[in-house]
Amino acid sequence: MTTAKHPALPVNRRQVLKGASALGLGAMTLGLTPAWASPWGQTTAYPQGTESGPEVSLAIRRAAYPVAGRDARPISINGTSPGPLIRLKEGQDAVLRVTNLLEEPTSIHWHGLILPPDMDGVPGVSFAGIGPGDTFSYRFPVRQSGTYWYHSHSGLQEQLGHAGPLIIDAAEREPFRYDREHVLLLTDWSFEEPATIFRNLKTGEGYYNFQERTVADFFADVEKHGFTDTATQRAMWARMRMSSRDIADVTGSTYTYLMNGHSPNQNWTALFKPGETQRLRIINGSAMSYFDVRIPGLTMTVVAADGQPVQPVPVDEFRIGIAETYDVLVKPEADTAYTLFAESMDRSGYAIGTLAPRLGMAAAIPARRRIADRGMEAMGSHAGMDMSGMQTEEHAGMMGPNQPDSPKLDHARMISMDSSGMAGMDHAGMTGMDHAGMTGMAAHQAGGILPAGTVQPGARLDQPGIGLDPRERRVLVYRDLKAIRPWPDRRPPGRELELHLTGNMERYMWSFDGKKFSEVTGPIHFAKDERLRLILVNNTMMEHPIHLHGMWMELENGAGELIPRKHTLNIKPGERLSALVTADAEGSWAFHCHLLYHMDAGMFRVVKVA
Amino acid sequence: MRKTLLAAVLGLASTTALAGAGHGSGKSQADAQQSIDRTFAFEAGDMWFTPGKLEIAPGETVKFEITNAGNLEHEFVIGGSEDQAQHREMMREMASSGGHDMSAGHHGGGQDDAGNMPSVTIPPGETATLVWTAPHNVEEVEFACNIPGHYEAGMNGDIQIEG
Repeated sequence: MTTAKHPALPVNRRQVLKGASALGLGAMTLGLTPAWASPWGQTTAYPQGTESGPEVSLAIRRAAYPVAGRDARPISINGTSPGPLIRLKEGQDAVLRVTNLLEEPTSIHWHGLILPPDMDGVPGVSFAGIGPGDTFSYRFPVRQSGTYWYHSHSGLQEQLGHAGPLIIDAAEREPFRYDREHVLLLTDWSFEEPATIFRNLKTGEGYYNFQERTVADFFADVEKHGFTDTATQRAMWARMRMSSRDIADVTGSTYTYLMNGHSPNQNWTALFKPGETQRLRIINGSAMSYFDVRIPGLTMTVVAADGQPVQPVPVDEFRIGIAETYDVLVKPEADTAYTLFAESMDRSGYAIGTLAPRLGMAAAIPARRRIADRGMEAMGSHAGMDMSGMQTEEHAGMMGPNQPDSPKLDHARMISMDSSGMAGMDHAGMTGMDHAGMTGMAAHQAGGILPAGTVQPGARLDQPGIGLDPRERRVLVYRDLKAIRPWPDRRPPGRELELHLTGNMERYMWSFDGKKFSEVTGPIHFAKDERLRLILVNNTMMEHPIHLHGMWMELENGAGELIPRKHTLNIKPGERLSALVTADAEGSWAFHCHLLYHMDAGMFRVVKVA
Repeated sequence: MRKTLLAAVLGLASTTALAGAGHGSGKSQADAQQSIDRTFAFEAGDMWFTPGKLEIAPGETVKFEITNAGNLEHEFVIGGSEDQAQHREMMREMASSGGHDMSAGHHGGGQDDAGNMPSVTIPPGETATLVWTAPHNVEEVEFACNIPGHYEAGMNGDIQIEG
């Protein structure tokens, strides 16, 4: 059943990669016919090869393997890193045998799949892990379709390329049509060992941030905003032990951003015939990097989010959080090359590829945007917020109604204050636009539970996020995501569970409700089959992609009964948003921030459904 | 079946005279006023039309009976690809100027404002009809749903006008 790519001669691998995979024709050139076929007749290409289900064998090995043309030692899966595309079909009983050829335990988590708890692949939660030399057989019925991915859930292995795409072909017709598809897996590779990166982060959070504001910036600000405002802003950031340019913890100063394992110089190319509709399955399989994806000259129509179909949304750009997936359709009519451009959110680099009618073509690389300043968005300064009010400590305390009981976390306290400021802003923004939201706000203040599907006060679901200007081009926002039909469970939430995302940037401590995973005494309890509302409040100044295993999160974005469901939710700094969960999956499940080093630092919980 | 005489009479007038026909119920007044050469039973789903391609003779008067088998509102518009693209752009702008309004009701009350193009809007579960006479001066037109994203996702098809 398995058609793995095992180049017989290691010396050939580089040529093979350069000659074939780089052209987006890997599978075909190597004579590996994808064993799947869709009624719509698309062809596919993924340079790392395809393993088709229902039975797949995977060997995990640390091996010498070139990355970005340099010698590297990633973790490979069946000889490639990132790993091969695993292709399953809805309705199959999948058997995935994973053999560990590392000298340490490993695991694979099938990200976004609804499956039995002992098949979820999280060591210490789902199972014991896979010891060196051992083989573990994952067996589960495939009950969904769409674009997903898989990755190690052991330590920091994911950072070493221990990840790959997981595509499930639908049993029934999908709500869109296309002629050809391409998978775009985005990752962030470092030639430093992950443990070294983590140590550097612990030593000083700004270690990889070479974009700190300088004295020159300060004087430029003074010129623009006047001395008092500038000094006030600076003092404020200093008190939060943060820099306003902390967009990302780990940046392009150590990362090479890859598209399907190819560096920008290697220019991975996907082929199309003019006039054909292309389905691009975009997966953010990076450890720490948000990307802003666009294809200059083409409108992208978003047709699925996190593997689940959504009502189509034409956009020019979208932000993809770590672990999220989006499916978009594009229809290039011209006989020309287009650039697949995935710029890192902190603007320190990009992953890039080319969509072209023939091999060897390239289009212009878009001009890089300047790094955004958190001061604008996160502090709400453009809304005329009174900055001087932040000067006094008691004021901050007074304004933080939602803060967890963690007096040592300066960071959390400051941001709680900010988050209430944001709520106020959104409130104004909602006028005349979302009346449900307005009444909801009142209900919230009165202590009631909002109707299902309603946007939480403090959510910024109609904002694309820092560094993206919706006036410049049309950018996808969470508000745009609407299911095509309602999800099965229509019950209103029986209760609310509020969790705060907390952190101390300087000490690189990340947590829920101010407690690292090592400090909590037990799991979060969901009653079997209950319907609950999970409210997530981001008390930090960074985005966090929050992932719940085993169950969908139905994002309450105001779409009523057509709210979308996701496995990973991006929560912006200071934002408060909610999701409905049907706790139908008995067992223990991981719940965590998908920023790899945040998870490892303690932003992780176990959810127990019983 | 081609009716040369009828074609000569109705050929150019079709788009304006019959543009509004078929809104609302399955029985339009057009039925009574003119003879229908052919009837096409159409299905509109999320996000597709069947059949996806048609051949109609110039001057032929056809009736489309479009059943919305999907969960979302759809429209059925006939026109040249440039006009369709323009209409699509307009609807997209309307949708985004509404501050990401979540409802699909950006064109109210079943009356589809598709410029001069014959069009009909079909709520989920309902059937609507549109009577249309193929012109003589065009070789190909598109049928489409121009609600933002629907066309791109696959709700479009070609009508070859030849005979």
